Amino acid sequence: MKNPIARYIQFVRKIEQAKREGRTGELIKAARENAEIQTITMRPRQYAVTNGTAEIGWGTAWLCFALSIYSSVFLPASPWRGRMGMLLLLCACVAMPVWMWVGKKFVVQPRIGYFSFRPEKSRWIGMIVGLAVAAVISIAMAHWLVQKAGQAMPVSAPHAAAVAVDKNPSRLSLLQISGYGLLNAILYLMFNAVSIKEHRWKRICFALLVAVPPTIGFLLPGNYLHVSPPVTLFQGLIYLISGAATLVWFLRHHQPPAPDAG
Amino acid sequence: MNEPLRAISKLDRVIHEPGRLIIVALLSGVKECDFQFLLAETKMSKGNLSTHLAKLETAGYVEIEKTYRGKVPMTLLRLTRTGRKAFEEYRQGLMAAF
Repeated sequence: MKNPIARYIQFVRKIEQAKREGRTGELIKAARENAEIQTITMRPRQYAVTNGTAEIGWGTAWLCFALSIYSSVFLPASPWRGRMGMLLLLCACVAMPVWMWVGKKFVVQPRIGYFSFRPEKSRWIGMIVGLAVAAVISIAMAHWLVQKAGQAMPVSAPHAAAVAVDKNPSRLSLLQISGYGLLNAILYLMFNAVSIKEHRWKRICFALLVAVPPTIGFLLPGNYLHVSPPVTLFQGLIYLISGAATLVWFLRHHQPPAPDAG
Repeated sequence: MNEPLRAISKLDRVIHEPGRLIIVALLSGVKECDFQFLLAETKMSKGNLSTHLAKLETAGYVEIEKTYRGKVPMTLLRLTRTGRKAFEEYRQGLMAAF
């Protein structure tokens, strides 16, 4: 039975029946066994995130995003300024897949062994729907940001961050930056759902990811556009440091096998 | 015989053995893997793992392919369609047994 809803209904009926017959303990035991089997089946997929390269990739992407904004502010005016920004944006886009590939090819496979995943149709559907939703949100956000930027700075200014701004942080700006920080912190938890039990120091990273963005929003003057570059830079650095530490730990604890093991 | 006992008796004995259950569970999560991967994941000895794999191959649940990766010999393992079906049925049977 593949339909998850029908499977859930069947499970609930089984619980009811077991309750009537006084066999809830046995049912829980069976459910636990099934959950353990599920955990084993998921282990190969967990290697994609437990070696730290995914975090490094995400951190690199965030750093590149932040640096692309700063490059337009701090680099001297020339045709190269725009190209540098575009190059950094391109790096941000490819950082994650490149680091994931590096992690699989050079970190996991030499130590754990070779494995590949089955192509799943549902995954492609999810990716296409995800891309469509992301495109709609991005276009809407870009439209909104352009409007905001137009209000916040004169036309001649190269970037919003370079413009003199209101010294008092608005409540909306604080709320936006806190939400942005919280979303990234939740994402960090998702990255480290498995490894956070082992690496307790990652809880500090999580706390920093939650607490620092609103603090920056409170300390720095300006609206969301002015505060988001330093916040993005900070988030990128946290991901990068956390990923690097995880990678070092993984390399130390997973030695390549002896040559005759294959 | 009551229903749970009947369900227990129907569980696939080839998969039910803990060592083989781990192997099949790991293989069900991937398209294919090499011997080294199973060795690292199951923490079994080479002989033990080979014996279990031979039993699973005999049952038609696992396909074993000897190949090369560059110049290094590699043993590729994958679950057959029968194996995947048997594993799914085993998991459903496990819940039905209790």
